[in-house]
Amino acid sequence: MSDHTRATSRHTGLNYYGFVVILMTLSFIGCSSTAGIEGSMSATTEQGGQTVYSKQVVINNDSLARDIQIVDMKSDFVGNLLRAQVSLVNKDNDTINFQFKFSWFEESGREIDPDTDAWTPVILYGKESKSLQGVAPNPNAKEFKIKIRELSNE
Amino acid sequence: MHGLKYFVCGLSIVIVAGCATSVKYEDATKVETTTTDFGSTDLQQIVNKMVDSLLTFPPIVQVTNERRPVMFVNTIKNKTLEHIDTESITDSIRTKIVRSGKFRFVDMTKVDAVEKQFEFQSESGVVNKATTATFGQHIGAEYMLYGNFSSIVKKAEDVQDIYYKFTLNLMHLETGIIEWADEKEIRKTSERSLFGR
Repeated sequence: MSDHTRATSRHTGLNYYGFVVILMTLSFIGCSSTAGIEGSMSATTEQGGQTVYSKQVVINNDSLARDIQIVDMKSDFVGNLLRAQVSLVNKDNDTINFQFKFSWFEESGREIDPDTDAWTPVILYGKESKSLQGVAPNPNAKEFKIKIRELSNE
Repeated sequence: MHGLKYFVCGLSIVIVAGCATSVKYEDATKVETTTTDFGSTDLQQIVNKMVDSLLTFPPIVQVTNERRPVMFVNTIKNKTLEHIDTESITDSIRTKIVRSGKFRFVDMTKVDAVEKQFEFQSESGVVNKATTATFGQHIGAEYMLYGNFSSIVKKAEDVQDIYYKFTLNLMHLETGIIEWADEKEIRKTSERSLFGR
């Protein structure tokens, strides 16, 4: 094999490696996680008639949680409908497009009309804070959960 | 080198095989951005915003705490440039309001069918008289729900911007007062990418 041929072979080999890397990179682009952040809050009425609220935040997507933080969760009753407010802040300087949905639960823990609330797209500009609000579908709701996910096609 | 060639060929076949037509069920509540045309996510956002706003408006909360008023849905005027089934939007709004237990509805689109059923029950001789529905017992609606749906479309060479505005009003029939109104605005843009040319 002449020097010229060897040089060409090496060159061709590098192209194959480059092609494989590009092909694999293209294959994996768009595979963002469908897991997100979940915040839940329940309102329990104690014997004295006092309402006690408990909150919980579960992070299933560390990458998303680095950008979006649940700052506060509040709930009150409008008439007898539970109203939820979740305050978020964008910790990043860039705009974040994400989606959220509320789920509503009775005091017994039974979910009300599962899968009826739709995912709602939201834009959060750099360092912006925003409140997301939801109203329970009926007066039986005593607990809510908010699910936040990246905005992807999945 | 031959091994690498086979690997590249194999990988290419696997990727190309994914281009075959396949059918799968999708989440009906997921965010849909196929085109900028009116879609399911727009409908769901409009319904959520309108119903949440209506049911939490203080004067309405006061009325619905005491009783379940009766309303009917008039048409939503489609002033957009698209063909949009606005009855589908009002159907969803009505369903969500009914399921809240705060209002009751009468359906003006079914008046003819109800009349025919009354005629059948009273005049056909087939129905047991003891079980026939009494004529003239329908409850009159107290409120009317109506609205407009409009859009502004702007196009540049590679960019399209659509702005939708959905307005809904609740009128008290006896007094003609609009007791509640709200709007939902939606903006969508599409941009043709370099590779999409």
